Formats: sequence, structure tokens, C-alpha cells
Amino acid sequence: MDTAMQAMMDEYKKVRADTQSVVTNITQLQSQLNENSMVKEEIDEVKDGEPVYKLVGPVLVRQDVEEVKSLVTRRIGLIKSELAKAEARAEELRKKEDAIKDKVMAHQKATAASTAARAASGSA
Amino acid sequence: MAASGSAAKGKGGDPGEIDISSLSVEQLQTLMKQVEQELTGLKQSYGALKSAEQRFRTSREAVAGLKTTPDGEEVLVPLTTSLFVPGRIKATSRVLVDVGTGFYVGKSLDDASAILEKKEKSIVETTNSIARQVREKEAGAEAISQMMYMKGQAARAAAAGRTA
Repeated sequence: MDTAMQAMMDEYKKVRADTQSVVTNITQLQSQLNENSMVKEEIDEVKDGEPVYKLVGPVLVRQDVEEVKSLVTRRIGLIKSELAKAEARAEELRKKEDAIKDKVMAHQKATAASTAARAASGSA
Repeated sequence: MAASGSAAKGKGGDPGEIDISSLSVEQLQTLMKQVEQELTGLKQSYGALKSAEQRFRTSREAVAGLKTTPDGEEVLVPLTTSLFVPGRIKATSRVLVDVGTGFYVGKSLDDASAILEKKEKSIVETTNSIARQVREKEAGAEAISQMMYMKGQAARAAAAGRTA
């Protein structure tokens, strides 16, 4: 394998590894989004007079319902934007991967052509 | 790719909607490995969901038990799984419900029980859908292994024909 090929393979491996970590990140964010959506659902249904607490370390701290609502909503928005970012990154990596594949293919074609030419001139 | 395919089209009805008779033995092996991996993942989720369902059910039973418990009733409080201290139960009309991400809501027994039931139901639904997927995948795996066997037989017959 020549050096150009080696470099491309290294690049490809790196892109694959990056993709893997982005995908893990996406699944993580999705489960977070899921959990927070469920919390939002319950918080939205809290009736007047029902106390809401937040677990801070080992202590339950009384919370204002409206504050919790806005906090959870904000958190969901944050996760969604993170998710969008991660998905954009995944798309970017997919394109990069395709580009490397094309490059490898072109390189292989070129080397095959040059060796064929050399063989032809050698036998002539 | 979540095609809820009605795989009633003969035994070649692979849920992946691939005509497996057109694949080589090597491709079938790769596909088999992939299907097996998916199956392991699905079975894992199934187990996790089942235990979650059980936890919700236990909680619901605890709430139901609390309903018939008078204030001041003597109880044994578990400090560990095998060590208990006697105590008296107080305020049996309200419980704290864990709604996730560290938030707890104080609810009446009936409301708490309703929430637990709702969660339990949604888990049962997911569990059922996963069970269905497992069955489909297993049918697919069965079809693949059958096809591999048939291909092997055909190859052997062809080899025998050549040597004869």
C-alpha cells in the first residue's frame, strides 16, 4: 500500500471513530429528551396545592411549580438544539466518509491505470 | 426501516424485506450475525422493560396497601434488605412520586396510583411491541439459517456431481 493510500485509510478510520462517538452522543441526547418530556408531562399536570420537590444531593427542596415548568421547558429546548447540532455533525461526517470513498476509488483507478501503462510499455 | 411488514408471504418473508435466496452463503452469514446482534439488543431492552414494569407494579401495590393503613400503624422500616427497625407510619394520605430527573411531586394516593398505572400501561405497550419485533427477527433468523442449509446442500450436490 502506498503512502497516499495509507493516509486515506487513516483519515477514513478517524472519520468512522468520530461517527461512532457522534452516534452515541445522539442516542444519549434522545434518551435525555425522552426523559425530560415525560417530566414535563407530569409537571404540566400538577394540580394546585400539590407540592413539587427537587432532589439536591440527599435533600428534597421545595420548588415553585412555574419555575420548574420553565426550567424543564428550557432544558428540553437546550437538548433539542444539542441534538440538532449532533445530527448536523453526523451528516457532515457521512459526507466526509463518502468523499474519502470516492478519493480511494479514484486513487485505485489511477494506480491501476499507471501500472497497466507501465506493463504495456515494459512488454513493448 | 420500521416496516411493520405482514410477513405472511411464505417462509421467505424476512422482515428486512430482502430476497435472501439471492445472497451468497458469506452474505447470509454476515446477515445472520447482524440479525443475531439485533436480537440480543432487543432481548436486553425487553428484560429491562419487564423489570421496570415489575417495579411500577410493586409501587402501585404499595400505594394500594397504604390506602387501607391507618395513621400511626406500626411498621418495620427496612434499613437494609435484612435489617428492620420498628416505626410508626404518619401522613398516609399523601405520597411523593418520582417524575424523573430529580423531581418529585406530592400526590394523593389515588392520583399516584393513576400515574403508576399510566406508566405501567405505556411500558406494557412498548414491551409488547418489542416482543413482536423479537418474534419477527427470530422468524427472519430461522429463514436465513434454512436458506444457508439449502445453499450448503446445493453446493455439496454440485461438488458430488462434478466428481462423479
